[in-house]
Amino acid sequence: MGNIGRPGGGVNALRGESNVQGSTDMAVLAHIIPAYMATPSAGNHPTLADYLEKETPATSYWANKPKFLISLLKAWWGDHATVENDFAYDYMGKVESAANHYWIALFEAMHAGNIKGAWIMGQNPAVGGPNARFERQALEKLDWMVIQEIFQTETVGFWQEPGKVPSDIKTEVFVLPAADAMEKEGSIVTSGRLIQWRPKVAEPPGDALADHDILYFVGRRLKELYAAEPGPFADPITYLTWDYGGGPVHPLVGELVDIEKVAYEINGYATADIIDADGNVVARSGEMLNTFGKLQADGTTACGNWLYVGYYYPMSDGEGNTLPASKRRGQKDPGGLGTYPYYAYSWPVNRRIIYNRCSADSQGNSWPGGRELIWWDAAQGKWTGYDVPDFAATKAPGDPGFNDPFIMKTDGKGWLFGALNEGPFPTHYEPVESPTTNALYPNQQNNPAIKIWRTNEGQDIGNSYADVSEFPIVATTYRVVEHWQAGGMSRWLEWLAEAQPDMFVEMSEELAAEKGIKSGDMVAVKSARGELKAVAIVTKRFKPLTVNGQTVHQVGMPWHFGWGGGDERYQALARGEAANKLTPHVGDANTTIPEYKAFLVNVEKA
Amino acid sequence: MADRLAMYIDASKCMACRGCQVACKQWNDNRGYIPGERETTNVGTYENPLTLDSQTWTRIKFTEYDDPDRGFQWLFLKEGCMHCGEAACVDVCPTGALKYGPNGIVTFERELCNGCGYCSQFCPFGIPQLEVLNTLTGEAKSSKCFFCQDRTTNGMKPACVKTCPAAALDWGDRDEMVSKAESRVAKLKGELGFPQANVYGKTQLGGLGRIYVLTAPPAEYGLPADPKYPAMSTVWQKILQPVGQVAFAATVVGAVAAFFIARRNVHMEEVE
Repeated sequence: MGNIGRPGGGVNALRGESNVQGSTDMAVLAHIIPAYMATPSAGNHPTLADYLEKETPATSYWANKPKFLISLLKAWWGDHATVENDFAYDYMGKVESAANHYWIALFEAMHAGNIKGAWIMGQNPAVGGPNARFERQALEKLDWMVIQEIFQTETVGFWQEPGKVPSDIKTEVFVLPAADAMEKEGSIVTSGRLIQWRPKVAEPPGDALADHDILYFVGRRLKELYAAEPGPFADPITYLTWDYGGGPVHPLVGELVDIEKVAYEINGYATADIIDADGNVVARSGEMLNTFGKLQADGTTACGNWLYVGYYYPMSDGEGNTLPASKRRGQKDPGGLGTYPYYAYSWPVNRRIIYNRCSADSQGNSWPGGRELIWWDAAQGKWTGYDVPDFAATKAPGDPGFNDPFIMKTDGKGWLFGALNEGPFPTHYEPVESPTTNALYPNQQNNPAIKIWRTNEGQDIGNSYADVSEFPIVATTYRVVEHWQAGGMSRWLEWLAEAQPDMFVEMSEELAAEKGIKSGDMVAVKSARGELKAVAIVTKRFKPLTVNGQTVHQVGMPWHFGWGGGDERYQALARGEAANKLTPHVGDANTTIPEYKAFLVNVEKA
Repeated sequence: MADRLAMYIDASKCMACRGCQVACKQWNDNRGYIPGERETTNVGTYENPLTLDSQTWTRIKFTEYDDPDRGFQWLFLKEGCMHCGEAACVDVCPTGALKYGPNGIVTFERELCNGCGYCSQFCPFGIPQLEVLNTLTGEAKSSKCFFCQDRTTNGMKPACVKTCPAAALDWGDRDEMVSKAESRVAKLKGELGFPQANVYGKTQLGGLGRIYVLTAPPAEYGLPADPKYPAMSTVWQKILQPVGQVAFAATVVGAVAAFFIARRNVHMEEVE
């Protein structure tokens, strides 16, 4: 860890999903569009010129942002994105200025009736969302919900929750059976930015389809409907590039996706012959690009994600084969550093170690002690070695900017801190529900920049909070190895369900003795937001804490469980109540990530 | 036995992910949770299933232990057939379903098992589990780990070893596994600070096919420190079974004799 930019070092984020990097690169977050450009907002960016002016810095590689954005618009609207219509910038959806479209805010908007429909893919908010009773109630307020899932999760059957009357719930629910990750072809990206293409290893069962096939079908139907009855603003749909067909014909939905066509668009291609100033052909019309250095801001290139340029371009695997870069499995490791440059494709431009300027000293010489990655070669007049330099490789020692290699930063320097709302550095604040006062800042109990929702405060289902007088025990939630997230991929599997079948709550021997609880007893855990029953595990692994001189007890619960989902015969094998019935609608200071991990409860024998 | 193979199990590296438990079921087509048939419940522990059974040939046992030297330890023990060098189950099995197989594997042939349950009764570790298949006829079958014989006789590692993400499991020549365990224990006792670390399985019962690295005394894991070859199994093999065979032969002889005598009597009656 640490030693950023050196072999074996770097920022090694332990992330919660196998393709969370790829999802983020492709803009699963509300504040970005693909490849980390800001989501356009109506107030700040009404026109393309506004966007480019406000979002393009004068220095750093982001100075090329117009090339990235215009290539993205060309990928989406093809020939309908022209110089005259600002490359169809007006077709892009825009958010209200200063909008919060993160998780909690979405469910609050649903609960308030401001969101009428939800399209959910492979997520189980009825179990995984904070203040889950509130979020389940928010789902009831939708007019319609579409959900793509591999099993009948609790969200698929939110209207069938025990105690609810299905006929009272008016939400129209459309369940689209989806293929599992192993049942479809495509790429996944690790947190080391390695893009690996994976084949389909099994056919999806029944009518289940890959998510991309479902979306392709729905997109085609939408285009047909808009073509038949164009409304006042049909162009963004009717002109949308949607030419991904060519796969096998499915009996229900017709032509399926040829996934290589999607890869071609994401990789990027020339829409016209690109000739450089010397008259050399950079790329022929239709040809895929091998580096984002070839992207243009004049509409002659199209690209779905500028960071991914080259990932599907035919490249050598070092063993005599040429194939789309992310499909490569070459085993050569020229520097002996474990970078394996011929294995798959690492964005950007197959750079294995980001910020790799740090693997050489201020004169461009490798640091002593071995592990030489890249260095300045005076004879050749450029940087050389075993990785793609993360900066201008022809700058010589003494040249201006030779030691300003952090090309994504406006000043070219490595930054010790970024722009956090409560910044510049993280520090300690107490959670909103805390058993004690902030010993570090007695006058500032909580982070001043967090977001606390108080909808329906004091109601049976609402954003209520409590203090230690009523709820004296600290609670946290976590995962067990047998289950995955909200359980949609594990609680239906008999081997995993057998190993970890029930919801439980862990507590110390001391707390158990105080409450007359024995291991294996059913207990009730209650917070200001809800109550659940779970099996007690009394363990030496939990110990009472001494906090500011007071004895504080702590309990812990896994958050994977739910009542079992939809129709009885398709319910999960491992069932229990959801820990998130207890957690609050409190969002962190920067992206409003829910405060899942610290809240107050009480525990009693059930 | 020069070519004896063994499984190395390093409890100090095990993190109780139970990948071994699941990989064993996957490779051997064994079942897990079946509603109404094979259900587990949480009884106040992470452990499940609570015992080995006909569909569970290996599992992780969880023990909370207050180590006098180190304070609290959560001990994880991978349970399964020990493949003893002197295996009582082989000696008591009347049908030859349990045998000493190649490479020191105690093999099990389900087709030959008559469900008598002696293996279960005589195993010093209580490993083989009898499953009653039909309560009316009393039909039953035993079951246990046979070191993925289908894999290991084809140059592969057992499924549990292959899946272990913590490198707590290994498979190979028994002498090598023993010396690997001994050097690991030396390291644990030395720089890693586990004074009670020990090797289990090197000498017990003719040497076990599982070589454990433990960080606490065997008894804390529920393992017998000095397991004994049960005396009755010798009696069974050397005396009762031969006697039984003599008795069976005598019964047959008697029955045949009775038949002829009866027939002679009938003839005599006819003559009279």
